[in-house]
Amino acid sequence: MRKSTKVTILLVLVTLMLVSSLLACFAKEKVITFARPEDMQWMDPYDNQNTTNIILDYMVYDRLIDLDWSPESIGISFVPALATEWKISPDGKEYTFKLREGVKFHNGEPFNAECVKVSLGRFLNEKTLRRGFLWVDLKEVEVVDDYTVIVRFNNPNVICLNSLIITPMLPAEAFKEKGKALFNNPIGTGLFTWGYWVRGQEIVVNKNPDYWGKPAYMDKFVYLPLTETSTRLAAVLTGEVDISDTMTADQIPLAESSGNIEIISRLSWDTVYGAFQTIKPPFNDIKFRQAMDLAIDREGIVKNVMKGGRAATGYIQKGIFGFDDSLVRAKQDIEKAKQLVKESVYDGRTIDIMVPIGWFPNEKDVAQAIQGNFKEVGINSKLTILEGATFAEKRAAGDYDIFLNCDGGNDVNDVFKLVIALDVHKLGNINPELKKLALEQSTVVDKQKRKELLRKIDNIINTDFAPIITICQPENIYFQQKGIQGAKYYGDKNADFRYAHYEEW
Amino acid sequence: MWASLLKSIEERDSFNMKKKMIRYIINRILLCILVLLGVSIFSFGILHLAPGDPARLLLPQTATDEEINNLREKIGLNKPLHIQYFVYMKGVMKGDLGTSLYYKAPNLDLILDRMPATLILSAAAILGSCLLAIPLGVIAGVKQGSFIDFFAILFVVLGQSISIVWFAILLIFIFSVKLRILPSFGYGFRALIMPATALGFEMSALITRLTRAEMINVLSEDYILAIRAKGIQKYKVINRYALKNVLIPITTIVGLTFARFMGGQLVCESIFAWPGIGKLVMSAIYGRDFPLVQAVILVVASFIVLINLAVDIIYSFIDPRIRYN
Repeated sequence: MRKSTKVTILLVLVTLMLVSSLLACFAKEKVITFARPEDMQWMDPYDNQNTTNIILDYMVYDRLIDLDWSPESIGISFVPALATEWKISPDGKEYTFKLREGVKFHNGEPFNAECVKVSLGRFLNEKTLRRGFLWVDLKEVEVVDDYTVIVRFNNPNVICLNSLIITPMLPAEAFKEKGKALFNNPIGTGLFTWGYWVRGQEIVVNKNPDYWGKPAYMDKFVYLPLTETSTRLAAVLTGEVDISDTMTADQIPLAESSGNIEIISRLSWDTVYGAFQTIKPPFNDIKFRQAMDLAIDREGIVKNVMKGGRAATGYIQKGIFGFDDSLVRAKQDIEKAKQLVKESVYDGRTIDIMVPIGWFPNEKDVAQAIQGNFKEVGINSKLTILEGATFAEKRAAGDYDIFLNCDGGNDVNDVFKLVIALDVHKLGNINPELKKLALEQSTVVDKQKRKELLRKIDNIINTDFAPIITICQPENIYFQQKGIQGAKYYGDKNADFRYAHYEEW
Repeated sequence: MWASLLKSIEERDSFNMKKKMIRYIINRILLCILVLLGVSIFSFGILHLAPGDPARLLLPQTATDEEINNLREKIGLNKPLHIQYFVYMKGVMKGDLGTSLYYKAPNLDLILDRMPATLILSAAAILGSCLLAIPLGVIAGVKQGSFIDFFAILFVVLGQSISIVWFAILLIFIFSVKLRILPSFGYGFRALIMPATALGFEMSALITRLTRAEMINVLSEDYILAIRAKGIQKYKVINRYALKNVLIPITTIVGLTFARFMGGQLVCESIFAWPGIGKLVMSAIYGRDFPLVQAVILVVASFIVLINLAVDIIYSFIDPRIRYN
């Protein structure tokens, strides 16, 4: 070959290399960055109690079924994921799942019924898993064939599907081989593969190019634990973070004035309520309880203190299965409340209102508002504001007059069964009919019958004013950069960012 | 004869001095071990006696007493306190500081992950403070009543009265949100500037005040007047004779502050998301993660004790009076 030809070929190759490098620079990696207050616990998806973990679980793992919910929904629905169909036995004790074929874990291991058995089997073998409370009634998991599995319970189970949406599937062979060491480098079937975790700094997951379903838009998802709300706000304003949760209503004007932030708000699935021991006077007197209920200015708390949310009508909140929009709550009536206080057994003693720090938004302001409302009607009270651990300890010991709390979730089963029927918070002397219904609702699989039961329970709580008085349904606020689509936010602060993307991607 | 007698006396004195020095160091080391033992007992006792059950916090609010008790059993909290303490100390002797209840990772790994960040932040804050405050304090002390002196006093008042939280948020607002020249959080050189400034601000004010006061005192001493009377130039008098004496109390303050910083700076670390020890230990305290809190206290106490020991040993070489006490 002539020298000039060689030189020409060399020049063409060099030019091609330069051009492709330049193009690579311009082909920017598609990254979404998300910030919230807490770091992950550890990556065992069954042994943590942490919203951050659940959000990251969604990215790396798949579940048998997925959650389907929008702000207009009443109650959550379920859509196929690793299970293509399922049926529930009439007695509610057996759930049969047909599994999706051709799905592989990130390490190449195939997903099948054995994986379901090994995954759920952990709840039978390990009794102290932190998500074990969801599977406490599990009896066995039977492999019918490679793609059919039956999950059996000791008693009728109404929350199996709810539990499955936060119970990812694990690779059977890898788990048998490595045990919990598997979670140092988690392996799932999800849209994203595990990248790395620098504790206290960031967690990175990368797009799975071999995903069995619709591919992700983004190349990488980065999670940042930023404890302070002001830091998260600054990070969103500067564009260092794309999405941030646990923002507050008073930050909205600043975010809006920047012009590049979209405010997303979702009514929480939780309820802020006050609970008390009806065994103790004056709480044993329905007139006093009704007086407390009529004294509280729920609309005022929502408007002026929480600056968002909804005044509670019952315990079951808007968006949750069993919500009764026909339930009417009496508005604040100071004069009637004053009269009831005079007629009741209340002797003028100072009622202690116990408040946990940081368990729900604006907890101190809500407590002060309630204290002010009580004072107007002649009920003396003082606030005992406690750090979480001390609050939990005193509550467990029954050492309180009233405690404020915020609880709920995507189904009220836990609160009704455990708080009312089994009285884990030592409320004491709960209406026996209420207890019976609260226990019964956890075993009724028929949706219509269960809905009626739940509404009955809510009605009793509302008319007996015991053992809890509901106050409001708070709001979860997120800030995201304008142009982001596909992010799903749920009322329990979980979120699904698998298909989040900027419009132009 | 007299020469050999003198020589043997000198050799005997030198040997005695070495013996005393070794005895002094051994005594200090034994005292350090005693201090650390006391710290471990005190921290263990305080954590376990304070209200709050870690098992209850690790489980959902609606956990039953049985579930909580099962978890307590699993993590060893149902054993008698003295058994728990001995098990813990047995592990410490082998270099095992236990496992975090929250992270389920070895505590030593968690601490070592965060320690460099705390060291870097502390060192940066102290270095920055000294570089600013010492020259400012010296000049203010030398030129009393001047504009620089006025500025130094104003700096001291602001530094000692401004809230670090407010100052940190102000820095973020100006340099990140408005000017966009520094990141609002993170870990790295550019991310270090604001937390080090916020943390060092109060310390700079303190050092400026002390330096200025010491300089004024020293410059009024007779020996300084005597040196000046010999015609030596003022800047030489300050640099060669006055500054050394001014720096003695400053060194003590810097040492104590560094030791304090090594326990972590929760406010700065939280606001700037700087991944140091302070944030780690605060969330461990709220979550009643006993093993992690104990481990952090022991590591930080060991660090402080070792620094003090090193300083004491160095002082004993510098000042012979100390080794004889």
